[in-house]
Amino acid sequence: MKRILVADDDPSILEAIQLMLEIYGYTVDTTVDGKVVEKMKIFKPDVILLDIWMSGVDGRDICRKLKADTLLCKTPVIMISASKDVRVSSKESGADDFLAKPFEMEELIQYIEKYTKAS
Amino acid sequence: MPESKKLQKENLDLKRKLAESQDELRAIQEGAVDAVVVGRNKKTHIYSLANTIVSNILETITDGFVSFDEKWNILYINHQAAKTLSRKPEDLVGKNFWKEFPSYKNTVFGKLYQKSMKDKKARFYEDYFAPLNAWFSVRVYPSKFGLSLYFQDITSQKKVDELLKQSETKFYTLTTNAPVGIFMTDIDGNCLYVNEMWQKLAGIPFAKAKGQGWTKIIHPADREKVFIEWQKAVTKKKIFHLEYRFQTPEGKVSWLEGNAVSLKNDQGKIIGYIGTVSDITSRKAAEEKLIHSQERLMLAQSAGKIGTFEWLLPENKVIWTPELERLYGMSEGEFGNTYESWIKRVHPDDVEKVEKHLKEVIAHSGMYNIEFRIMLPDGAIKWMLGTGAFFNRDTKNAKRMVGINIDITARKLLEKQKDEFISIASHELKTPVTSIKGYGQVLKMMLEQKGEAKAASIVGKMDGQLNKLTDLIGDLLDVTKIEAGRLQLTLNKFVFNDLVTEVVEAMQLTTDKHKLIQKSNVYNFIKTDRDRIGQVLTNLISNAIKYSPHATKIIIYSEIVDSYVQVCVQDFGVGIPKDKKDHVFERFFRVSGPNTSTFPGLGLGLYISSEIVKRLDGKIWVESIKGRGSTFCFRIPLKKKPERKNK
Repeated sequence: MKRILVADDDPSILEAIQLMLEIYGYTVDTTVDGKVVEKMKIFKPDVILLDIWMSGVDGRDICRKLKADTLLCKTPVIMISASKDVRVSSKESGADDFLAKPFEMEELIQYIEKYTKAS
Repeated sequence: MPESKKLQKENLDLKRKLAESQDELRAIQEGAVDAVVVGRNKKTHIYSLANTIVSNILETITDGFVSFDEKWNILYINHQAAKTLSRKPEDLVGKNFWKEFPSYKNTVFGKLYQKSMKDKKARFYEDYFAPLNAWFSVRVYPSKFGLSLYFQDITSQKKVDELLKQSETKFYTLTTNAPVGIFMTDIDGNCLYVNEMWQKLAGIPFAKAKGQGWTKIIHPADREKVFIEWQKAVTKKKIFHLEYRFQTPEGKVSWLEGNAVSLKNDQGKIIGYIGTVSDITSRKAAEEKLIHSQERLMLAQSAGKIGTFEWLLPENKVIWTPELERLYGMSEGEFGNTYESWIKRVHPDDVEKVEKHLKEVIAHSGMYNIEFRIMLPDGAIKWMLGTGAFFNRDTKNAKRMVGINIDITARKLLEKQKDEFISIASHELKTPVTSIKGYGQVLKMMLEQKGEAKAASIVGKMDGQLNKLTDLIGDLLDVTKIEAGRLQLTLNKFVFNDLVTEVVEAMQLTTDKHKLIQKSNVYNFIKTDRDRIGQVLTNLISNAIKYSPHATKIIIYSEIVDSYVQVCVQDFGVGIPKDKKDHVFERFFRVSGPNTSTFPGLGLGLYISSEIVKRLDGKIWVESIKGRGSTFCFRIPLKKKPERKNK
């Protein structure tokens, strides 16, 4: 059972994503607080979905921390944002991929599958 | 006593003496008659002696002299008199005057002599004497023995008098009718003369201007100035020149230009002043108007934060108004007056953009219009809008530009706030759309699993509408980015046909009526912004679907032309009227009219598409026949050159 960590400051988005991923049989951990993402490494996620505009915290800063962490540095991070323009900067912060909001469920599943297969 | 008067007196004394001697002579003559009887020899001697003395005197004077007895016989005539009468003395002595000169008898002079002979009164007379065509001054001295007269030809003196009189008349006529006021004063500034015009300007007659009267009509505020200038002119022996005002007793004020020079006598001594005054009231009013309008303009420019400049290209000279210097944070005169001194004030990141624009403007003599940033000496950054036009009077080359700079910093700040607002707003709008979409897709899947196909398809339609909403939000955001010059491009390398197929397949899902036909595929790799080109193609196909509601097919052609890939989307719909064709790529433009007014949309799609294509170094155009359909095409380079960072 693959485990997905989702961080977004909007609870509805978290719920919708959780519902989608659970249909496809993933175990999902969520948080609305960007600051606790790093601490959630105890769940040993296979893929991390990370929103860029988190209240008070920039997702890209979180991403840099995750990529610097010895335990998490190999965990794929997919950044999600409503702005397409941050695609480049998200990659620069170490993210493995980028997904623009709003997205199709199939699109999300494709991305997740791509990175869970690799891990 | 003047020399002339002295001479005159001496002359009179002489003449008196002469008359006395004449009387003596007559006494001698009368006595001589007796002498012939008494002692002829002695008397003859005395007579001839006296005669010699008297005639010597009479011949030396410049007057003509004639002596008559009671019967008008000429007793004596001097050479000067005979010469005037064009005769010789010896031919006339002893002759009767009226017999010799009968035509003289009835002249004014002749009558006068006869009168004096009768009443024994001496007379003085001056007149023109027609028989000799000359002016004479005559003195007539009767005696009990007859009459003597002295006369002088005064024609030349009369001529001088006449000329003087004429010139006086001329002067009077001239000054009276002169369009300027003329005045004359003595050395102390007492008015001696003013002409008609002066009296008209001053509103007072000569009688009131006389003496120091004229000073009263100088405007009180100008009086001191006039006297100071006058004093200066007098002491420095310069021409007096001043603009000042008259105020008439009625209170009418007029502006004057006054000039005056000193009048000198033959010895070069100043004896007075002569001058003119001309009415410059209307000129003054015009000047005042000009000053006012200049002040207004300056004030308006200052209030509007507008600075004006003039650029003379051949001389490389730039003239700035003080307001422009202020806008650039410089004090007056600090600007260097060359193109270089300006461009170094332009923000380094904007120099290239500005110079490129200017180059084009100069080459095509077009309008200069650009927004750019400047660096103030204190390091602050301001936004400027520069506009201007070239004046090419004689040649085709741009030579002189006149324009303005407007401080648009505040506007730019507002624009930035607006952009940020729209950016945040669209982000905020996308968040609920994302979760609704997620919920909907989960719901659809759940319904499908339960076998409720109809309910699932309704949820699917809701999802389609959410996509439209997402596109609209995206368009608004894109326009904001384009306007702010912040449309970001991400270049990817991909097989062009893959993108076209992907878009065509996705768009086919949105229409049942139309068959989307893909022709002549391009399998080349291309380096450009995949998402943005996908957006353009999506837009063109969705327009084709929207504007051909009764057609059944849409054809998508793609081909390689030179180093470009060219894509055309052909529909068979309503088409675009010829006059609207060029406007379809403008922001908010929508083809309207009785048949087309019902088509939905924000009118942003083609504007965004054309901006994207432009940014990707391509071009976009349309060919259309109204009622037959349109073909929208764009071409982009196979490999886009990396662009320079614009920040």
